[in-house]
Amino acid sequence: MLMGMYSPDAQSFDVMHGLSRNVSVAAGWHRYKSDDGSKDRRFTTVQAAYLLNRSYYADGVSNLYVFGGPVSARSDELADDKTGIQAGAWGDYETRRIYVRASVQRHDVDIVEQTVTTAQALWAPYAADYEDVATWFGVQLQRRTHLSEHTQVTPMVRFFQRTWWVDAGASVNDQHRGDIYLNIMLLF
Amino acid sequence: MKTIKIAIVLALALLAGNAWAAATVKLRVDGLVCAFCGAAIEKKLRANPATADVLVSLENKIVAVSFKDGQNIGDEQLKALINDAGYEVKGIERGSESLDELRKTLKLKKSG
Repeated sequence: MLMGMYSPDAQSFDVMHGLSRNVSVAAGWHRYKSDDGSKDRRFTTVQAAYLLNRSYYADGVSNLYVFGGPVSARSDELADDKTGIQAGAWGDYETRRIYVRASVQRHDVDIVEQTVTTAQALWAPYAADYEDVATWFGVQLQRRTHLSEHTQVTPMVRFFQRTWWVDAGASVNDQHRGDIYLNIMLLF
Repeated sequence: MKTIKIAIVLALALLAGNAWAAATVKLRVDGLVCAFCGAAIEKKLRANPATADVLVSLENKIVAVSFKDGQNIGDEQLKALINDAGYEVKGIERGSESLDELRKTLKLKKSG
């Protein structure tokens, strides 16, 4: 799977591969900027993710993942490239009409530390079948400690079909108003 | 008389063969709520050399498989393939309806 995300303050690109039902590996590049522009952090990551729990319900499924791995960081705050760790957790619940997710990701490299906490809630006006293009509307809330003092609020629309997924939105809170958000996933 | 018996046996064998070739397995799958879930299952099933075609219906919570002539995948192996994709099979039903017929019954489009 390929994943790419863009917003003015955060960008990422990841390549993921499932090794088994519970384990996947990924390599990625992530960039974060602080609201005041004083911090510009670039991370190169290699990580493993583990599916701790998947629960099935009458019309839905929930997942709980943990992930982490070594990270190399480059930033104006560091004299040279440093290595450290990044780790986090991800939980979601979805039906064909409702999707909620909460995730947290911590980067810890020398004096560079940050925690990105994200919550999403989306609703689909119709229950798309496998060959249909699914349409969802919702909102993403994100906190980036050590980078921003504010919660970024981004209403978004999501389209996906069997092998592709696109999120698009624009932030509405005062500090990030108008910042676009794009997230693309390709399954192969 | 012996020739007639042989002919009847051969005819029955041919009929059985055709029925086998058209055999379809319908699997009721828990957790089948999104297209990415279905795509992961479809990918696993299509990777098996015995698979001819795969149908996924989120509405009906089923995955159906048809096989190449003379080939088959056993129930336990099908369960294992879907389990390996991260999902659980709750029921298996074998029938003679082709996947195209099943698509018509369920009013589904064919996978692109």
